[in-house]
Amino acid sequence: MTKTSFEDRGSGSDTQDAAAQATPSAMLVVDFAVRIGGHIYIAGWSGNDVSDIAATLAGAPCNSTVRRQDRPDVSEVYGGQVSPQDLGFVLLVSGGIDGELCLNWRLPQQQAPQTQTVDVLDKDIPEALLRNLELLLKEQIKQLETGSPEWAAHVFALPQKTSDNDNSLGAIDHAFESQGQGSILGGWVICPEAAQLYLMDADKQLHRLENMHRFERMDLAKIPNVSSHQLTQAGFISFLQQPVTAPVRLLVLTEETVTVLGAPVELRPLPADPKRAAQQLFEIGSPVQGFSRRVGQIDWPILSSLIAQQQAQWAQCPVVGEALGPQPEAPKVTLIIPLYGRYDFVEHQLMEFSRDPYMRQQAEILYVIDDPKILVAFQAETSELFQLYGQPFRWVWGGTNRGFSGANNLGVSQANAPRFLFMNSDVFPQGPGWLEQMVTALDDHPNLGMVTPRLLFVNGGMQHAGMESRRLEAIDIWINHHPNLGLDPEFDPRQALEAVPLATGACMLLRRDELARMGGWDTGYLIGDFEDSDLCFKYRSAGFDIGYLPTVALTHLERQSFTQIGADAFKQRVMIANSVRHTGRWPQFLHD
Amino acid sequence: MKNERILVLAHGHPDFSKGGGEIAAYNLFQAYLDRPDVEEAWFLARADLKRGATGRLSKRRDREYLWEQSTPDIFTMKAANRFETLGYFAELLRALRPTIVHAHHYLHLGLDFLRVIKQVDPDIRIIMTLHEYMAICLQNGQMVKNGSLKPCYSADFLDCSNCFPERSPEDFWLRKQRFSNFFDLVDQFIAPSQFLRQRYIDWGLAADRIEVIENGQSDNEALPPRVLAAGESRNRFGFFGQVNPYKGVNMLIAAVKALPRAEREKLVLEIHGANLENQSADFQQEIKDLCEPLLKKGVLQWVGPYEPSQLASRMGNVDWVVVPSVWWENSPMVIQEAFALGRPVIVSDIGGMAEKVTDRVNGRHVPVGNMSAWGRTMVELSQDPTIWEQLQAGIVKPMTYAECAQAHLLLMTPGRR
Repeated sequence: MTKTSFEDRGSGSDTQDAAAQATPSAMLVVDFAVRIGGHIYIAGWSGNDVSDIAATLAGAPCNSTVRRQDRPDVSEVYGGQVSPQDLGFVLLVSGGIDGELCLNWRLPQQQAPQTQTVDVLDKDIPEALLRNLELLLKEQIKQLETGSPEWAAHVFALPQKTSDNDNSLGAIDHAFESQGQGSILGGWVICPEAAQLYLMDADKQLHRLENMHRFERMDLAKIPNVSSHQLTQAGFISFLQQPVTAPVRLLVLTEETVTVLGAPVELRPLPADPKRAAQQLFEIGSPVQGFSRRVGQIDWPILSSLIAQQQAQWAQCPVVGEALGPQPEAPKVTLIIPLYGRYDFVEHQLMEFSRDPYMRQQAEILYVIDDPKILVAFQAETSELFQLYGQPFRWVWGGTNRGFSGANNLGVSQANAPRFLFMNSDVFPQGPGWLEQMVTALDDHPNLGMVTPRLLFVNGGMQHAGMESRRLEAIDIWINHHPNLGLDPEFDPRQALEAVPLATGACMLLRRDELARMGGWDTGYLIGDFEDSDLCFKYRSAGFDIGYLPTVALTHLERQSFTQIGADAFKQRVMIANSVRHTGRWPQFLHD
Repeated sequence: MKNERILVLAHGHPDFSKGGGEIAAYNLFQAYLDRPDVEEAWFLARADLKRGATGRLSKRRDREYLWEQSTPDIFTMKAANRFETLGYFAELLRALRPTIVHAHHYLHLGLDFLRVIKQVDPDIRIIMTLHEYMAICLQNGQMVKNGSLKPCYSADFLDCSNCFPERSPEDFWLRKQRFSNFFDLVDQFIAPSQFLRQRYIDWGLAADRIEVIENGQSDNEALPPRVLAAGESRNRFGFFGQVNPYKGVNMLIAAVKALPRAEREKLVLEIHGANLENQSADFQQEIKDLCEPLLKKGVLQWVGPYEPSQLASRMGNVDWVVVPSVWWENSPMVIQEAFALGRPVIVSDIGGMAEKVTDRVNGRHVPVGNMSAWGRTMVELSQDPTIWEQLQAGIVKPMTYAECAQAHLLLMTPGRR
């Protein structure tokens, strides 16, 4: 009984030793045995007289199949005494890997089977040995379930090529993980059309990058021999829901090769704050064209979880506030005015409100501070503002920035009137009486879910005369369009109270109980956009009309462009992201 | 019947600050005191006592108080210490019980005091004299373009934002809303010139809310003509006032410098200028470089600042008074002073200057900022043997303080409006 192992086997020396002992036709020589995943591969050669090669594990027979291959090297050593054809064998053992491995075979005129213990290599397998198995492994891989641990073990056993000497190139440029929510990877890859992309994690687990958005990377055009077609989809961003362990590497698999691209990459934690998370994700620069598809597929799954997690903490935030002056006992309407960034508008608003007898008697004025940066400075001024203008008001601070919808909802929770007027702090009445007219219009028309006024820019052109949904083909989204924006009000097709498709949240009067039935303002948007049209759609799907009252006009200092073409890149992407969510929520209103 | 109690409010006290507005306000306060129909009058002036805007009041002398207030932000014109506008200032009003507050300014005081007056007693009538275009123009109320100092013809949100790109047009809209809102509390606006009145009307002030009353002057006798030496002509020109980039002094000196030497040396320019030391280093250097060669030749005499009491003797030593401002001006005090002392005035042909001096009657108009025209005019006037007497004869004695006070009280007579 001979014992063969890799350690005592030089190049061809065993073969020569064996040749000295016996005629090659009766010989069986084991070159090496390796374990790959749940399989053991035993490679060697045997003469024509050898038959019934099989294996036992821990004394028990196991599933094994023999594959033959030509071994001209062996034939040459024996001076042609044996034909090279099918001289070599690989025995594939499956069904177990533990226990002593023995190889058995038979020789003619010998009753007892020949047997030999075989040492199995299971790590640090020299690449030269694996190269002998390459073809077989590739066949095996095809039969294994893609992505299974067994499949992965076989893929890794293939001789790996580095990107330098291969026709696949690429790298991971961005790798983020969000605790418990999955990972997002961005980068580029240039590889054969049929290749598949995988992520290999620190535990050697392979994760196929299936949920992937590809985009053009014309900046890679300087790489030699790259076709323009390859460039159009060289960029990628991918979302992986399952947990992965860092560092991770990018793998390109073809039928023939496995290529590891680039160095291992650590996963950066994604900020818990949705806005900051979005800023980092949107840095993974896929072009505006196609961004609407990407953001729904890749970014929103993580962003919506972050938004939900953040809002779950709001309930714990204490609400503080102050009332300045005697508050109306039974106000008809509560003005809910969120403050973010600037608070100098408050003085201008109070200056105007104080001149309106209806407001002094019937309105509760509630400022919702939504910006920790202005809290202290605003508090320092409130008493002076009340003393100077004599207009009672309240303010509340909800402990954290909640965005437009969240601040409005907080205001609702603190308001005392049966009607709410949601108002931006940069909207200013042009004289007394406006609020009373709006309340009358709402009260007289129960079919109207809300009443909104005309809003004018400081130069007198129209800022809001109702809104409508408009398709922006260039970036494949629906936007909220302000018809006749900037024109003189004489060109407004509506000159009396009418229903409009949508209306702005910059100045919106509605009833308390109905808003509660609608579930309030939706807080699922990123930063803020589309919240007013979302609310309008809620009312419309409940059968209400949206009222526009052009006989009441206020001034709005709105400065943002509504076309958003050419807006700063992040804002534009936020707008697209929100539009995608908006469209997904209201398909009955937003379709071709 | 002595029935009015008048508090005159000014942005500075002439004890500390010799601007035209402060002097006009103070003299008007004294003229009110002399009126038979005035029971009592007080003067409240903003002052900087080197300890910041404490908001405190302090007595200067009988009937005169100082108020430590400031307006660091001329965009909003908010008082730095609104707390004490609501506090000490309101207490002052309750103590003095004025029937009229005559405010000469809101710079350094803040607009907020207007509202506090009406809160303390809505029956107090507010007169406000406007001395420049502060509500209309952020450029120190001068209505000149930021940077170039070219005259500006109208205020518009977009134009203003172009002058001050760090502010949006909407910010300027808010500023106007704010000023208008406070101005609504004023019962009567006074413009010392038609020009200023019209600018405010163009801006949006209702025409029936603003009347023209010229600043008053001391009731002086005109000075005799300067005594000429043998062979001397009426060739002495005097500039009186602040030296800053709006006043055109640099342009005037350059105009003299550009004259042919033979003509230049036949005339003398005296600069009775104040506050050059408060100007930018660049501007001070520019003036210094312009003056140096002329001072050596005696063409230019840098006489420096003067006390009001010195004005008559200083003006007596020149033939002509020049007002070469490159901004519109309102009603430059120096024009009325020159007329009161019997000196014809040469002015830029814009704004309040063109209004107060009638060309070729009591002085001359010169195209604003036009160096060669200023040079030519000075040479022409100094060489013409008869023109001085002719223009001197055209001067009409300006309104006195007493007449000015009477005009104001007439306007404020209950029932008139």
